[in-house]
Amino acid sequence: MKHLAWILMAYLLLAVISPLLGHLDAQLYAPDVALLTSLYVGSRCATVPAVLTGFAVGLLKDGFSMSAPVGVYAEINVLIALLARGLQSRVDLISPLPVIATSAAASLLSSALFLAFESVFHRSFENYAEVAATALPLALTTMLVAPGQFALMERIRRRFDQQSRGAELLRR
Amino acid sequence: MWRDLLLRYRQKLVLALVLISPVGSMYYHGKVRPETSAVEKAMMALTGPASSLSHDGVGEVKQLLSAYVLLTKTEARNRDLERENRILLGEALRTRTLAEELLRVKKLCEFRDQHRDFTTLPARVVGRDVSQVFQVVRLKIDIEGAAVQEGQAVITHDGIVGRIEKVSGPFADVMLVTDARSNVHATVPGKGVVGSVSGKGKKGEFGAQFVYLDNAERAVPLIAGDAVLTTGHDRVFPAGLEIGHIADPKSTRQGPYHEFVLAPAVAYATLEEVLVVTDYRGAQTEPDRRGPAAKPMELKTPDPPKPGELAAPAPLRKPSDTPKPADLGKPAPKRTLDPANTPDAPP
Repeated sequence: MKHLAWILMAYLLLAVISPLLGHLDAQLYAPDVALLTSLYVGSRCATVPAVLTGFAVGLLKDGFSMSAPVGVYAEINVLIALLARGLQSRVDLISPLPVIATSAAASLLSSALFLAFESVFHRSFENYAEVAATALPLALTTMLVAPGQFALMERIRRRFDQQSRGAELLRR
Repeated sequence: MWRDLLLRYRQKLVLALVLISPVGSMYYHGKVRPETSAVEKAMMALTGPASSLSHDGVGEVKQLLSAYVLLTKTEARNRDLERENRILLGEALRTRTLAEELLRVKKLCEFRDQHRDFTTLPARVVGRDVSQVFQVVRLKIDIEGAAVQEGQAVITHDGIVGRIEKVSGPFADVMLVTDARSNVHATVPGKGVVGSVSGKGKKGEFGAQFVYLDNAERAVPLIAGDAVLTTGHDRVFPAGLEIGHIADPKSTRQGPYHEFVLAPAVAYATLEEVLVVTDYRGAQTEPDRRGPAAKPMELKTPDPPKPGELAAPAPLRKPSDTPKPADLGKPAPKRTLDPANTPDAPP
């Protein structure tokens, strides 16, 4: 259930962020909430739920993004979830500073993967310079948003964990 | 058996699925295709309503914040409106001033067309005497080479203004008829009186000393509002122009004279455009005062007025060329009195 809640949260954030930044004339500074979701679930969950959640969130981002071929963000988010899963035992993704640093690095990696996939699969893609130019601002805004989103997702997880424990106790 | 295999390799299968299926999707959707794929349609159906709702919601929230909370646009709009209001007020004032000026000039033109027995030149009032004793205004004649001389009469369509006292280039100082030094021969038409109007040095007051020519004193007394006109006998002011009207019918008698207080016909405080009478046939010009530069008035079209400057009427126009609206600029009957009908008119 908590995975569905996280996916729903990412869906709502993706739906709100795009018009909000459009109204504020700040489209270039949209934080990558799908990436942060994948990073969080990769650092907290088992492999299969993490990659499935990352896949779902990536597909949602593919749906909200109107130009990239469907599947680009799904692939990127699955890879990020797998990366976070690998970092689970090495990096403490609970304190704000490691979260910020990892988010920035993951965002830069995401941009690089995006460029790689676009250059390989997207026949009519030519905006390499623009993607490269926006990689750093995107990483900066994403890392600034990361602690807040991690806290929100942590709150959702605790809520669902408490409910499941209560239900288990009731069953006993 | 399949179930066991699925359970055994579940993780690897899921990983293969989530890693390979996006690659296949990218490969398929990365090609240039004219039609929308089923996957794309499904994605759009999934995200479209949310995008639309959030777009509208964010727009509403932003509008709400701007209109009721932040009021940023309201303040900016208020500033714009205030600035626009100031500009419009200034333009309205300029337009009103121009309209008033146009009306005055039109009346002057009509007055000139109605009095073709003497020639006039347009002039503008450019200064007023600052002293309390003398009633003098300064004119500027915009027509070059105009034969303006000392002693010539200055009038408007409302009545007489004064006579020229000094001339220097395009400028001329005019002694108003309210000046204590001024003296104008006058009459009250139909009342059998003749006399002179002298200034008292006050802006809104004259003294008029009249002699009753016959026994009409008892029959037709002077009453308040009776117009006092020029006779032309002083050879400065053309006959039949209004000087003022009787302000108080009570008179003080000094010998054969009855002295009345008059109110001027012309509002000197707001005087802007006047006419200088240059060749009144009854005027007597002293030969020694006509300098070598003095010459008859040249009938030439003045330069077009600059923006914001007085639109001076043409020096001379044919009556047929002059527009005559029925309701504008028509002089009052009492001000266009035929001098021949005055009791003291010369035979």
